[in-house]
Amino acid sequence: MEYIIHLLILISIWSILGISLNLVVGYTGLLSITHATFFGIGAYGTAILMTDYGFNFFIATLIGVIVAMIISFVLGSILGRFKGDYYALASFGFNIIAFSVMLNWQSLTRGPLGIPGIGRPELFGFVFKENLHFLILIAVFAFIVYAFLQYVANSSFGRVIKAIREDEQAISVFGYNTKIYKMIVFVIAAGLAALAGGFFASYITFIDPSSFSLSESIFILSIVILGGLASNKGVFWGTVFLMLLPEFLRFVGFPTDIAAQMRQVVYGLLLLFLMMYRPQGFMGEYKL
Amino acid sequence: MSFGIIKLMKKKNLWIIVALLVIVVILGVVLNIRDEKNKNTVKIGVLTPMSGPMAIAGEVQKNAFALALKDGHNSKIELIYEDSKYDPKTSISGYEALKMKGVKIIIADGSPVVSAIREKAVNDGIMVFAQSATTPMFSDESPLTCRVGLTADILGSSISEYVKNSLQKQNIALLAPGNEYGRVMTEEVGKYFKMAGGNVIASEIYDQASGDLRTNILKLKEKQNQIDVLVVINNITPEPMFNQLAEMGWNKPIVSDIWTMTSPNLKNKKNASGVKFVDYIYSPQSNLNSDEKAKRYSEIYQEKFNASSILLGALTYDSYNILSKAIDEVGGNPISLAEYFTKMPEYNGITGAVKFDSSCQNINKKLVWRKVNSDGTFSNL
Repeated sequence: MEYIIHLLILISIWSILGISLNLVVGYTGLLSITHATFFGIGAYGTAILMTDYGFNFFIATLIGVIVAMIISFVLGSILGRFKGDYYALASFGFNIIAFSVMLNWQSLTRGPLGIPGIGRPELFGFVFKENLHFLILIAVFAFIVYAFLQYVANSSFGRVIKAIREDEQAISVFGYNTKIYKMIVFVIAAGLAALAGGFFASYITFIDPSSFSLSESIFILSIVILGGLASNKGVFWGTVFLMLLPEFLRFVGFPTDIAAQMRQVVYGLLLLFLMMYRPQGFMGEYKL
Repeated sequence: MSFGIIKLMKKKNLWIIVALLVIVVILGVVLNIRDEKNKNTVKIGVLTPMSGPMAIAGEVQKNAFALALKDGHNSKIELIYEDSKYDPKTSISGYEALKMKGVKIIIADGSPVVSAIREKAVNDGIMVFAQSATTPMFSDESPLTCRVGLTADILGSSISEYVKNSLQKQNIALLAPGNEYGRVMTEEVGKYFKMAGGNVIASEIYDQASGDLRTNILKLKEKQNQIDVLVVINNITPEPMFNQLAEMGWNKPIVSDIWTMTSPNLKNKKNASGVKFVDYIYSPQSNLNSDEKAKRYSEIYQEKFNASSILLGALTYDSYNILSKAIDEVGGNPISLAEYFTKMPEYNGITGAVKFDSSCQNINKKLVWRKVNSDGTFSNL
């Protein structure tokens, strides 16, 4: 049961990451490969404030979210100058810079040593120490994020960002300042990624830069593409699929000598088949 | 055949493939879990990198376990492997999977791995037996978190002491990777060397994934006249580092550590000729082992796996044997085992004597100094 709860917690955290990135990539059509940066900022913000300054989890996470939003605002104004592949490359570059900062700013992040002993959330004296309690808390937040982003996607704001994705020039003709819309989307997504980061730090209780590398950004992007661009429901199922498949494969009795390699092969083959037959993902309405 | 039919066939094929895969996975899971539950043994989980860039460490451990089982198979013990990928998230998932399979004792390697699972294991009453993790993050007061290998601060202080007292040098420079081990070693060597009255002229930290250290070496070369000894740490890319030091004409003495000099990535040691390094009593070079068991282990390992029998494997071999003996004595309960280890008499393993303190950390800190000869072999100093 503990293992199932653990997996559900991971699914909830990565759902927030996937759905928030879907707002940028799926709905707005901006191929951002730097989501792990904001995930890391949230995680480090929460971890540092909780362990060094004794902040409550919720306040620490809120500060982490605000910091991530401020940084994303600055980054968004730079990324706003790029389009298409150049946007992807620039965001990619930022992830590398952020990773280096996490690794080398030792006085703040403790670098590769990582930060251990991060506490669990506490609300009115109740500590979410049990994994089941933690799951309920993160599931509530994941649901709120899902409902909020579903609302955003179906609102007039959502229609404008979809129009930006389809034809930015055309929507500009109607007087919409697309730069502002893109900036808002980017900042919201960064804040939500930081929220997921706060929960991740508190759940794992130990963080180091390896969790926020470029490969993590690519993994989150894979969730969005597999689940389906511009479909929050699809991204949720994409998260479930990508998080559960490698875990289920742990229990397939492959011989020890080749177990890890076999898992990777089966995992890779399944992804390959899915992309061959469903290039738009499980429920996507848009292809990159 | 019309395009529509082809499309339909493709869709049908997809569902057949997916359905077959799902059936295989579910059958595998059910049979595997049933099999696990039926076994009446002490399950020891092995959380090791079996995929990713550090998979070589997992390979070495699997080989060492194979030898340990061949030499002294304990029918009460069953080993269950899980991939840690050497990252905290996968390690936690591997830990939870092991817990679900009924594991109460885990042998785990790697600082990020043991740091991530330490707190959970203590809370869950599960014993973590770390063979070689050097991180200070793993040290706590709990007897459930044991470590056979030595921490980076012990290696660091030994290097400082050797340079200051035996070589009688005053000024050092450091060249180390930006990973967890490199950072701690830089800090510890620098700290102890300054405490002994020496000077650290320069510290060059390089990208751990990079094989090109020429820029860092060039910076050190500018200060070569002020530097008496260069301390190098490189457990990831030692071979290009020594090649580049030779190529760029580094001519001051070099001192290093066990994990650099016996790294599986350092195949040609000739360019490291003259380097002095701190080592465990155990050596992959069988003639340097005075202990017969260690000599035999390194020879058999080399013969069977056609690879150098590095320290990580030897520590794994010792860990299995220590646990096996303890399980024979007190059974598989982590609390009983913890109590046993803290009172255990000295165990003579192939890596030297092992004796645990009250928090289950190995207190036997005997280290030796060795040198690389011009033919690439090692000799004792």
